[in-house]
Amino acid sequence: MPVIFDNPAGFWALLGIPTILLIHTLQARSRKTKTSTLFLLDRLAPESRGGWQWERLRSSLPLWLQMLAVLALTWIIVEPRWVRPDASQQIVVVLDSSLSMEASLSETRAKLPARLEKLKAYAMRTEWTLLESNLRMPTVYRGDRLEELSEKLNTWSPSTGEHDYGPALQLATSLVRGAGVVIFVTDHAMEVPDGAAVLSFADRMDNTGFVGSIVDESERGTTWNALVRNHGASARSLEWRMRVDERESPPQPLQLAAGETKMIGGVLPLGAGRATVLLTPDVFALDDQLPLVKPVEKTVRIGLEVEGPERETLEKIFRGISNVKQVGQPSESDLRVMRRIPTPPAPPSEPDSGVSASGATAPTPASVSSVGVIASDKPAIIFPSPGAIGEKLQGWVVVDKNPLVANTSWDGLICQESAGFNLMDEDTVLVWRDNTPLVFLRQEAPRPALPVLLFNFDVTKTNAARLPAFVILIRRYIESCRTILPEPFALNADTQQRIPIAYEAAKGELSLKVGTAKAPVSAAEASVFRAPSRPGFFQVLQGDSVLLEGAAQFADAREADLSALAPADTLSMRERSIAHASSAPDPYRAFWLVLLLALPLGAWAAGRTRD
Amino acid sequence: MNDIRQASRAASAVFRLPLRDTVWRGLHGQFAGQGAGSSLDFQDHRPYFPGDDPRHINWQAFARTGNYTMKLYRQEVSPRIDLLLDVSASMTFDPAKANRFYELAMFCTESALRLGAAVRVHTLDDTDIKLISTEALLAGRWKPEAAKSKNSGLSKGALLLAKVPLRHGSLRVLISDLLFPSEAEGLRFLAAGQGRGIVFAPWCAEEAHPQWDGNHQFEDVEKGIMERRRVTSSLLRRYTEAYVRHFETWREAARRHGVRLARINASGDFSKTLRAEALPVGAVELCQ
Repeated sequence: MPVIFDNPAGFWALLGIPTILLIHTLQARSRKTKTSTLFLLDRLAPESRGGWQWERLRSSLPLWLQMLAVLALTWIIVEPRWVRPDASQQIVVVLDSSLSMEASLSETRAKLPARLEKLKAYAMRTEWTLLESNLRMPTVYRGDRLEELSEKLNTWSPSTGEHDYGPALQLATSLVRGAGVVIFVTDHAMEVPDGAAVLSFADRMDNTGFVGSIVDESERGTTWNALVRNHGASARSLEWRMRVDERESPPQPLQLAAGETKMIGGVLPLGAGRATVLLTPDVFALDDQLPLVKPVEKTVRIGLEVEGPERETLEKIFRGISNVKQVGQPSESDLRVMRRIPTPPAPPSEPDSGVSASGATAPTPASVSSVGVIASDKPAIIFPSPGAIGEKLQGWVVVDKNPLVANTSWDGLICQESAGFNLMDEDTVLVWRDNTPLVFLRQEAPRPALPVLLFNFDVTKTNAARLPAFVILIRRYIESCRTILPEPFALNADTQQRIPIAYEAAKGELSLKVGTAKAPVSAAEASVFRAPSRPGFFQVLQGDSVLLEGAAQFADAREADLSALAPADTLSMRERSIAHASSAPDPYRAFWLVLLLALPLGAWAAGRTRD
Repeated sequence: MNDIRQASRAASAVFRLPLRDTVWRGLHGQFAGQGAGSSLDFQDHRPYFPGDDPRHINWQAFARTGNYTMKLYRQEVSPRIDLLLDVSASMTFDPAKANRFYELAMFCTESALRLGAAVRVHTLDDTDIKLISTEALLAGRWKPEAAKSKNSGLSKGALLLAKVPLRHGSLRVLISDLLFPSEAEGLRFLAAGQGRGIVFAPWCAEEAHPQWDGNHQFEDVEKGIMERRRVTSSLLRRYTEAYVRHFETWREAARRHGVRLARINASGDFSKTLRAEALPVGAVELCQ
């Protein structure tokens, strides 16, 4: 039956054995011996006299009794416990997925298995589970072999920015079911729920790295600028250089005081589609490189089908948006902007049965919908045709949480009652004025990739053109429209950044290429596609054609700031209760205590007899 | 003390001091003297002189020769025995050795008195000599008391053998452990004045084969001097060799001066020890 020790520090008591041996060897107190032949000894050449003298260790009863007493004392102090034969435990290790763990990963890999090995001794059978705090990642290991867990740990690396650990710890606690412990392995001291312990093998480090970048087109070409921050507490001198293909620029010196942020920049060489800016390496490698691609944006073709002051307003807005192009033919457009006469609800009709167009607009493939507005296979922004104006609309403005209008203020909109579109049950109202829906989205068959954006007031009769929320809404809608265009593009993204991939399924399967590795991307994965978790270049291919040319950049200043790293160990405090749950105390403790008392007395008595 | 007395009496019933092989001077007794006496042992003839005892005239010779001739017979005397007891502390520091010392002293006294010898008992050490009575010795009323040595050396000095008033022609029996720096030539005093010497030297295993090991603070039993020594196996071996050499020197001196030296083991039965260690060297003889 395995034995565990509640107080391993008690083994220091074994130092008593060498101490006893030393005392017996030194023999500081000589034995008194009466003799009648001292004159014979005096005749012999003296070898050593007086003082502290080494002596050959002699076996004696007091010596053995004293050593046995030390052993008994040690045995009592270390508080042995015997592991029950049926004892089993569940140990769930939750690894902090934060990328800052990268800095202390080698320490964690080296020390964690040893700590877990110690826990293994507390039960006859241990079920191990290795999770990440990022629950989107699969379970790293589950089984009863600590060696396999260590191997998995050696291949694991963190992949997430700052996130909430709570759900992972709750899941881990539910897995333990009382018999075992949850260990959260992180890189800083923190509080965790009861039943969990924190282990951190990290310590404060100084780190310098990129915290952000921007790539722009200018008359000089493709320019880039990047922010470099010294997160450490001391000044640092380093160098940066640019690598294009296999060529590198001369290193540029860079001085950063403690906590200082500086901007560096340059121009991508002509013809270069991608480049990497490199900093002098340090303990945290993720932010020491900045991959850059020359951004290529999708062009949104807009069919502007309105006239008059409204057209001028919209054209002015479109001019402020990059890569927007007006086309004359609606069929060539990706987004239609038009005016429609509001009509009362009518019975459903065929989707492509047409619609009554306003006088100014040209005939289009658009058709009259069931609600009398439009059914289009393309995104559209629709304004009502001018009509009679009523009273000024009063009341509270309520803005929906839709991303198109999030964080915008419509309180300043001044508009009057006018003939508008009827609200349908399926419509999503973005902005209300009292009970009047001012802006809403409508999804009609044939279902376009983006709902139609409807303005339920006459823009020309309001101050909307001067209202930032209106302009922002138009821009956001156009950007949403750009996102769903199945066209090639190139961008610089943060690691793990969500990137919508629009593609035509008929043209082939998608795949992700990072370096030379290529992995298929399913349709489901494409809908939630994210940039790789490690900095570097990547491509999304459809067949052999490149759909996305990307550069994943690590620029998370929170994760790169390693000044808050600190060692932590609350597992030690819990080890006692873990051990007690699966073991029983030594039943012979009383016997050892009696022996402990008897042995010194015996040694004393034996010593007296000897003297 | 009773045990000691019984052991010495038992031994004296079997053994006695060797007086037979020597011609003794002394009072009338049972041992052959140097002169003519009235014993039955014929010694010589000589012409008659007036005043001679007419009972010793050899009448048969007068019948043959017509001259008076006297028959001379061996004189029978009682020997003199001087018993010398070494009362230095080394004789009694070990209980077994002390017992053996008392046993030897009583045995010698008992044996001498049985033989009708004129016994004188002297105690001596390196500073003093005393005469004690045999009665006190035999009654167990005597205890050796060594005078504090005036010797400033690390060990006791030689016994004052030269100053003991030994009687002319006496048997000198010395009981001493001989544990003092070798003054073996002192044995010549035992043989001086036509005397004969016997030395009983009791010894104990603690002296001959000590179990010393490690650091010891030795206390000299004679002077109380303390001396710290570390005893290694090498030192112990050299000590044992020196101990053997010491007594070889005494034996050599004893041979040279005709003194019989018997080393008597302090352990074991007294009679058996005498048979084993004293009888072979002639320090005792069997009673007839």
